[in-house]
Amino acid sequence: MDEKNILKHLSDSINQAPIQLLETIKDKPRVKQLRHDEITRQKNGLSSMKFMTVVASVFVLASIVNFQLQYRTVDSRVYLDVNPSLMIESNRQNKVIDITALNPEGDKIIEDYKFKGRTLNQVTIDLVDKLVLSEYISNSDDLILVSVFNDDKEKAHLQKKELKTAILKHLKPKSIQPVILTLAIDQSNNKNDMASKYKISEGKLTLIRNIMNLSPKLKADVLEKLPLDQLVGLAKYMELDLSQVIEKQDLDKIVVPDAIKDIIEEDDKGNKGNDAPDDDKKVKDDDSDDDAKDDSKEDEKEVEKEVEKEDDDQE
Amino acid sequence: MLLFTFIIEDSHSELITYKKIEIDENLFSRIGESDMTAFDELYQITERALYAYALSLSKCHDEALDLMHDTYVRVISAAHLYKPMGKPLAWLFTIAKNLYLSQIRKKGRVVHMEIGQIHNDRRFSYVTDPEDKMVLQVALNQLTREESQIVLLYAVTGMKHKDIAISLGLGLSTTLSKYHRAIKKMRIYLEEMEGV
Repeated sequence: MDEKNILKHLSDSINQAPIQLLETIKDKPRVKQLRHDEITRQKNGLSSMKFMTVVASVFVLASIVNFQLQYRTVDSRVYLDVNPSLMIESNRQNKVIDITALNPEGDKIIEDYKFKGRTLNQVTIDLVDKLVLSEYISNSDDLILVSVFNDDKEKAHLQKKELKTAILKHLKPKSIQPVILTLAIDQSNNKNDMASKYKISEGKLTLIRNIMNLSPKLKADVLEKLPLDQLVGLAKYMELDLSQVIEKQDLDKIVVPDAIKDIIEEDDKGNKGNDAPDDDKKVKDDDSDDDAKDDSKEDEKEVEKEVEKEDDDQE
Repeated sequence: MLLFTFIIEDSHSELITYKKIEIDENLFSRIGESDMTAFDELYQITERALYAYALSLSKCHDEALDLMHDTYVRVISAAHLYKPMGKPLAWLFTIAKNLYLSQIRKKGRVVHMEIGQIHNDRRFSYVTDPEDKMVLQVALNQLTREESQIVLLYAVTGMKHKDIAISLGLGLSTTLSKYHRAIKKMRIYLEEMEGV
């Protein structure tokens, strides 16, 4: 028997059934229920158990996603510049979520270092230890630049202070008290690009920009090649006002590297009694060359040229 | 010419005409306001479908009638509480099922019929055609409850499987697969019985 016949027989049998209930039902006394009971209760699209399960699952999923977002979202970026350049990213709970080396020296510092679950302070101290072991920090003449970025400027300010205190406190028993420069930096895509281009940290780039703002004739592509101590030494030698980025007591501690001093002194000697060199950038002196003119603009140009020359020698 | 008429005539190819089930959910609110013409309308639309469903539960004509009666009485009592959800027939079936289960709990037993007993079964004495009777009994006794509900509803109302699924609270694919399985089972049983 095929399907069609089966259905036909079923339909015929059901339709033959004698059903005369209408009047009997209508004659029954009508009682209105106050509320649904277990017989008349309407089912929702999902049973309450299933609904609760779905709600609970959504809640758990949302919690997991929220936790992941909270954990993985970068709140602060801390740049450590000595000569190795490092970037430490931490979340709102101050737990470190990533460390990046910004130059080859930095790669060696963070090689095999495990930071999972450690706080920003702990990781900073660990990395400072590694810098000490690698002899990048060994005496109180050494400079460390600690730059902090956070959308919350107050938090950034507090963090840079905390980190500076923590580093100094940690190194004191080792009789090393380096000069720690601290900077709070602003986020800027342009800065990101430039920092990547020059392979330096945003902290160092911010310092360079500050220096260039104070002395516009200094060029970024020259300054970015200078190690931190020479960069700051140059700024100090040129008596640029770095009080915004360096505290006075730290600025007093900074020693102008001999390399810069020697180069500048030699240049001064060379300028006495000599004609001005045939150079487009050099400003021509109207006076005789008996006295070296105390002109900061000429000095700056000379420093720039010498710095370029020194850089070539280094390469 | 006479030869050709014998070839053309085929009683099994008669079309089954269905009474379309379209329930306006406003009927319930009207019934709740004691509008019995609304109840008449509801009853006319749903009578055979509810009977088929009740029969698939009770497997007995008289018990199916009792179940139908109690179901409609509860509908009248609770119509004012009905919330439109787009599944008015499902509500009727839910009431019928809950009443049936409540009776089962009280009675405590369900009787299953063996295939040999079908021929002597008097519960469907109103069915005059023996083939009709045989097919109905196979549908009620040899299929699972859900399979018989789906097949009977489809046979009686011509509802789409999607609408049957909604009314029975099943998934569409479940409904389709159970339907085909049911038809296959019935064909096997019926062939077996014809052999006997």
